[in-house]
Amino acid sequence: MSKTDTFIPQGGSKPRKGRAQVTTFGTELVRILGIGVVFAILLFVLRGDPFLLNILAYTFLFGALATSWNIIGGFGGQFSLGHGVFFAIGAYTTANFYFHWGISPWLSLIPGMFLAVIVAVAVSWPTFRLKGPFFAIATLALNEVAFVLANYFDLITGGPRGMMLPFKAGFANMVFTSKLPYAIIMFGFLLITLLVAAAVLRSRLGYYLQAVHLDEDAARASGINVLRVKLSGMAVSAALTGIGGSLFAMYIRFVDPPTLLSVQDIGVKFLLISLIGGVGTLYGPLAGALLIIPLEYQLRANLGGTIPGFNVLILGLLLVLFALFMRKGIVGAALSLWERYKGKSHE
Amino acid sequence: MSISLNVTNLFAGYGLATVLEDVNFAVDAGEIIAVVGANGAGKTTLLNTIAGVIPAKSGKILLGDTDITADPAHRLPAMGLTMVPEGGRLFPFMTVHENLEVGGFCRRGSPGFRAAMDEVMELFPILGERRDQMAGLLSGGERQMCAIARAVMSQPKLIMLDEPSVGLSPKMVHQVFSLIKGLAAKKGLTVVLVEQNVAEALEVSDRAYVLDHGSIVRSAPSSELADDPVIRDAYMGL
Amino acid sequence: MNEPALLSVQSLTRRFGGLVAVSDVSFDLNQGALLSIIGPNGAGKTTLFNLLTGQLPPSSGQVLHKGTDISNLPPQARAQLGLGRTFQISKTLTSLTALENVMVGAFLKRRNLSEAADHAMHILEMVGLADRANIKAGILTLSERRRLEIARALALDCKALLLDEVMAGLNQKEVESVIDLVRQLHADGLTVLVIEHNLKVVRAFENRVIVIDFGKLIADGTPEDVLSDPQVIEAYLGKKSA
Repeated sequence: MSKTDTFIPQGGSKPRKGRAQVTTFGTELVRILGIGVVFAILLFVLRGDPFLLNILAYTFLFGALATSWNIIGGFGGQFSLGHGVFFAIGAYTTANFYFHWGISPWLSLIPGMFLAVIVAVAVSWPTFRLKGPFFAIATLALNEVAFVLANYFDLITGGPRGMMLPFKAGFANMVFTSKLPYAIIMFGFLLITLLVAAAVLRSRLGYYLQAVHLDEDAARASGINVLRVKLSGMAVSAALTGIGGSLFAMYIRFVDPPTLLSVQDIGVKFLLISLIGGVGTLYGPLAGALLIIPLEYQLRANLGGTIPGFNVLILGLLLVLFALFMRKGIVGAALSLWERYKGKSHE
Repeated sequence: MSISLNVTNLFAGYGLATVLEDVNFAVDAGEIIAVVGANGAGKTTLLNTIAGVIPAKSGKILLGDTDITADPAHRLPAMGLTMVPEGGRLFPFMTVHENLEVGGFCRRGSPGFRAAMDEVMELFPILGERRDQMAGLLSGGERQMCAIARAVMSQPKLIMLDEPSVGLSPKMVHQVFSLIKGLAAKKGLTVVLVEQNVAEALEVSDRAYVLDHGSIVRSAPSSELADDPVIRDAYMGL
Repeated sequence: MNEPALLSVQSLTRRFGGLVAVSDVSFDLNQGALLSIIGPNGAGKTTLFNLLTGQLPPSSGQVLHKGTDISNLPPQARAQLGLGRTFQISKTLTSLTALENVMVGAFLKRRNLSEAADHAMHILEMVGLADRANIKAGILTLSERRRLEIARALALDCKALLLDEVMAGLNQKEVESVIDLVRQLHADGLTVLVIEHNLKVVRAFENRVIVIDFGKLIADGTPEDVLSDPQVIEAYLGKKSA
């Protein structure tokens, strides 16, 4: 054995894949396609009911937005309360391009996405150095500042009155007479975010994000540039969130600061859904959305909106319950049960 | 006012690991005993277990006639047992005076509280000078003194010190140890002193126990142990 | 041999306000060497280690890697250069499996997921954790977690491994098995620097020992010589003042 420059490990060069259990993107792809088939069937079954299609569209959208948030918030453990800003950037960009220049949203979601990423990276660069809860507080502050700016710069945002986007039906405009096409678009968006999240999780970036989340010192000792990893995760997350904002703008055809930048209705919801569904897991945010969004609609329908903010109260209560009894969220708890079951069956 | 301490068949550790294995020792009222051993031998674990900071896995700890094995840490100062942790662990953003007040908290209603404060200021004159200074700004030696004074404020019958010499210059070490010895004599305290610095510890104590890898390997009057090779072997890995 | 040492420490000093934690320490760590650094509690070993790993910059003096000054290089850059390290308080990534933990290290030189997984599996075999590969690190025993940290550092394709009190909290048998592992890795060509409290371990390594006391280097030699040096014994047991 020569004492050369490189330490050459002893013990065979034949990789023994047999015992290495690592989930690959391929596996997730199959799972996502499975989910896709199930939802496609659901869409088909409900195709004639606009009320249910609407709930489905929102469920898909928020499932996708939570999945996007989860990339930096769950995998990376950076609890951003400012994702509403990236959402709003996408929405306002698409709204402006459509309203002033008649440019198709299919095209304008690209600049919206880029703008969201630029803002995200610019803001995160200094704030990622903040420890613990201070990062979350800083992003919350970002959201509040954005709200004020959105009210102020009425040339771009329409100010407090907002912008009403004219109804000119057509595929290029992403404006449709029935709810079904919208639901399908949201479904497509969900699939895309799941695929991107899976691609991140089952790659070097995914491992690095988790390492940074679990222990920054250990991450550095493994050669990881912590800031760069956080910024990469944030960029991907913000890009997808921006696209979601664009789609949202064309769905409700109205943008104003309370609709886009209300922390309790938008910004915090991405977080809450992810936490309840299972933050840090791939499908947790989707599971959370499947529970929360229809539940919210049910509550609103039953209470007729008589008590304002009631839905937030329920969400908050749910969160407390989950934090006390099911910390890992729905998917997390399911995975733990599965592990225990597997362990027992091996005895 | 002093009290005895009896530890029998003590097993303790952190989580699944057992650091102390079947430790037995006894301290008579008014004695100063030293527990010496190499780093990692379990000295701090021993004090932390007696002080209720970590739970014992099995065994018994008797303070006088009272079984304190299961008692949580915050109850013990009122019962007369106080510990000075390693490094003193003062509250850095409180003044010296405030740190002392916190030390005497369990006696705050008692008539002796005022007197204790005056006495401590007399015993540790340097603290009197620094009474309104933030504890975080004190020098190493001053910090150690303040920590001991803070413990004295609780009017203890038994005081335990965890490596009071760490980080101090040799001169400072000697000063602190002289102070401990004088204090014990003056107030008739029982003292359990855990130390890495064997020479100083043996000089100031009546008896000593040698702890090696979690077990007591020797116990004898301090004067006998001073040149005993068992200590050197335990420290130097033989 | 004109080749510069793998790691060279020159007149390294670190102050914290008025306190000099490390004072004018110099030594070389040559390729293929096994070096133990010992000293009593509070002597400055941890500070010295942090200067070597990049967690602290020096107040004066230098840390050189093959002749290049790395004194101010942050920890991740030193890891990228091939200086692996473990932590005194176990820092395994608890919710990842053992394999995934090592993959985090393996990804430094291998971008591809399956390559990283294969390499990680290989390293786990080397440290004897192959059959625990798919167990979450949080439930491993302390001894296994120490090995896992070593494995994660090895996966960097590191040339030198810096171990920070890797024996802390291990029982006799576990200590022996880790000594065997380190000896094996060293025999295979790994350069190793060990900070150690347990002097039995240092004797077992039978290699060069450096002693730090009050921030200064006070002895340098074989375990037998160093541990019977009266100055070293005094440093450990303390001195009777006049």
